[in-house]
Amino acid sequence: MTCPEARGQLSALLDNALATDERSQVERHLAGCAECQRELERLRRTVGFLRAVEPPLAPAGFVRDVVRATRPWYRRALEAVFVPLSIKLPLEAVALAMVAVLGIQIVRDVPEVRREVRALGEISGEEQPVGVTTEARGPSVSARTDKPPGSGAASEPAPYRPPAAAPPATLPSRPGEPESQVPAPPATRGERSLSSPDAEVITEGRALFRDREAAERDRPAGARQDATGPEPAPPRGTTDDSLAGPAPESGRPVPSSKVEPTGATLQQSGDIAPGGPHSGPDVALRRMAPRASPLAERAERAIPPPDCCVRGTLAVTDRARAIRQLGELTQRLGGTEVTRSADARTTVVEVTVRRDAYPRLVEGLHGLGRLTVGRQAGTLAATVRMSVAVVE
Amino acid sequence: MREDSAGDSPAFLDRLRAGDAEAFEELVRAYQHRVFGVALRMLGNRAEAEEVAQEVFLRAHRALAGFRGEARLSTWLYGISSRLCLNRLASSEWRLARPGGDALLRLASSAPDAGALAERDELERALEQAIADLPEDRRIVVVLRDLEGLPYEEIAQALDVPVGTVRSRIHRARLDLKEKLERFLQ
Repeated sequence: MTCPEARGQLSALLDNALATDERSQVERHLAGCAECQRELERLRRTVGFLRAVEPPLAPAGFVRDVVRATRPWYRRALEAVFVPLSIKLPLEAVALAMVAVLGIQIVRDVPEVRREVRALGEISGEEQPVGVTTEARGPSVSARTDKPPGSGAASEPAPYRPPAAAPPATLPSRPGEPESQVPAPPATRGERSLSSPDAEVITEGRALFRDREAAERDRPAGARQDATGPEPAPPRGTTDDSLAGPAPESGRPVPSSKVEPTGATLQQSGDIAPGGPHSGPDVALRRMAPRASPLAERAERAIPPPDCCVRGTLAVTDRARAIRQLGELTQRLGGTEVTRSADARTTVVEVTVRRDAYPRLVEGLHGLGRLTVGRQAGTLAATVRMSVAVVE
Repeated sequence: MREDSAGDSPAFLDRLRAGDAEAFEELVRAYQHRVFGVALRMLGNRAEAEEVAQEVFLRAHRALAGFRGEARLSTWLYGISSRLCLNRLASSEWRLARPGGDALLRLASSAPDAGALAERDELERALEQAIADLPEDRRIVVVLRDLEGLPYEEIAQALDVPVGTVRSRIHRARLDLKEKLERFLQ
C-alpha cells in the first residue's frame, strides 16, 4: 500500500469504518511510515477538536412553539386569547367589568342613550320591577278606589288607565286599607331605576301625597273625582318631557286603550299630583324624572311651561333668526304663536298647530337647527301645542 | 422519552402515527437539541436555525402518519433537517442576503489540546470559521458524523447517498479542516 492510498483510509480508520483486511493493510503501512503516522495523529487531533464542540441547546420554549404550531388555527386563536389562564382570565375579567361599568355609566349619564335604552325596553315589552314602581303610585290609585262613585269633577286630573295588556300587580297595602289589585304600569321613560336615592324620592312623594289625600277627603264629595267617572280631566304634564297632549274637550274622555305607555305614565303623574305641576308630589316625581341634558335643563329653568304638551329644544347659531323663521313656519302651517318669553340665553316660544301640520312643524324645526324633542306622544290632540326652547 | 430506547418502540411509533399529541410532544422534546444543532452548525445563525428546526418538526408532524419505520426516527429527522438546511443554503434568498453568523461555537473545557483560555477562544473561532468555510456537502457529513455522532450508514441513509460517498466526503472535509487548523496541531 502506498502513502496516498493509506492516507485516503485514515479517516475511516479513525471511525472504525474499515473492513478487517483494509484495516490490516493500513496498519501495516503505518507501522513502517512515520510521515503517515504523523498525518494520522494530526487528523486524530482535528477530529478531537470537532468532537469537543459542545452541542447547542434549542431555545427556551421551542417545544411549546412547535406543539402550538401543529394545532389547528382555531385552537391557536383560542390559546392566544386565554392562555395562560392564570394571567389572561383575570385580566379579561377586569377588562369586562370595566367595560360594563363604563357602559352603565354612559347609559346613566347620557340622556340620549338612556332614552334609547328605555325606548328599546318599552318596545320589547320590558317592564319596571312591579313592586316598587307600583308602590310609588300606590297611594293615588288606592285613594281613587276609595272615592264614592259619582263624585267626579271635570277639573280633576284623569285617572290612570293602564294598557289592557299589562298584567295585574298586587299593591302593598297600607295600614287600614285592603290590598288592591291594579294593573302594573309599563315601564316609562319618566321612571328611573330603583336606586336608594330614588326610593327616598318615592317615599317623599308618598308622604306628600298622603297629606294631599287627607285634604282631598276633607273636601266636599262633589268636588272629588270619581275614579270611574266619565269625565277624565286633562292630564297635566308634570315631568320634564311631558307630551301628554292638550286638555281634551269636556265630555270627551281620554281613550285609554290608545294611550301609549309614556302617555299613561304622564297621566298617572298627573293623577298623583292633582293639585298641579308644582304641588308636593309632583315636585317629588319631577325629581324622579330622568335628568335632561344641560341644554334642556337650562331651557326649563328659563320658563317652565306648565300646560305645554310637546316640548322641544332647538339649538341654533342665530337665535333671533331662528325665532323669526319659527314664526314664519308656524304661520305657514296655519298655526298660532301662543306665548313667547325669553331670558339672556333662551327664548321659549309656544305655538299651536293642527295635528296634521305637526309633522311638518317638526320637520321645519329640524331645518332651523338641532332639534331635540323631549317626548313623542302616542296620540296627539286635534290641536297640538308645542313649546320650543330656542338656545344658542 | 429517551430517544434511543422508547423513541423507536413500536408502541411509541403507533402513537405518533395515530396523531397522539403527547407522543409528538415527547418526540420534539427528545430531538429538539439535535435538530437545532444540525441547523445551527449548517446555517451559522440562531434565528434561521430555529426557524428551520421548527419546520423540520412541522414536516415530520405532517408525515408521521405515513412513516413506515424503515429508518430510525432519529435518522429520519436528521434527513429532514439536512435537506431543509441544504435547500435553505441553496436558495437565492439566502445567497442574496446571507444572515450574519452567531453560532458561537464552544469547546468543552476538557477538549484535547485546548490549552489556555485565550488559546481556546482562538481555536473556537478558527474551528467555527473552518466549518463554515466547508462546502455544504462536506459540512453536512462532518456535522452529522463528528458533531452528532452518526455512523456512516445512517448518514448515508439520511442523505440518501452511498456509504462510500459519505466516507470520501468525510475524509475530504477533515483534510480541509486539518489544513485550516494546522497551527493548533503543532
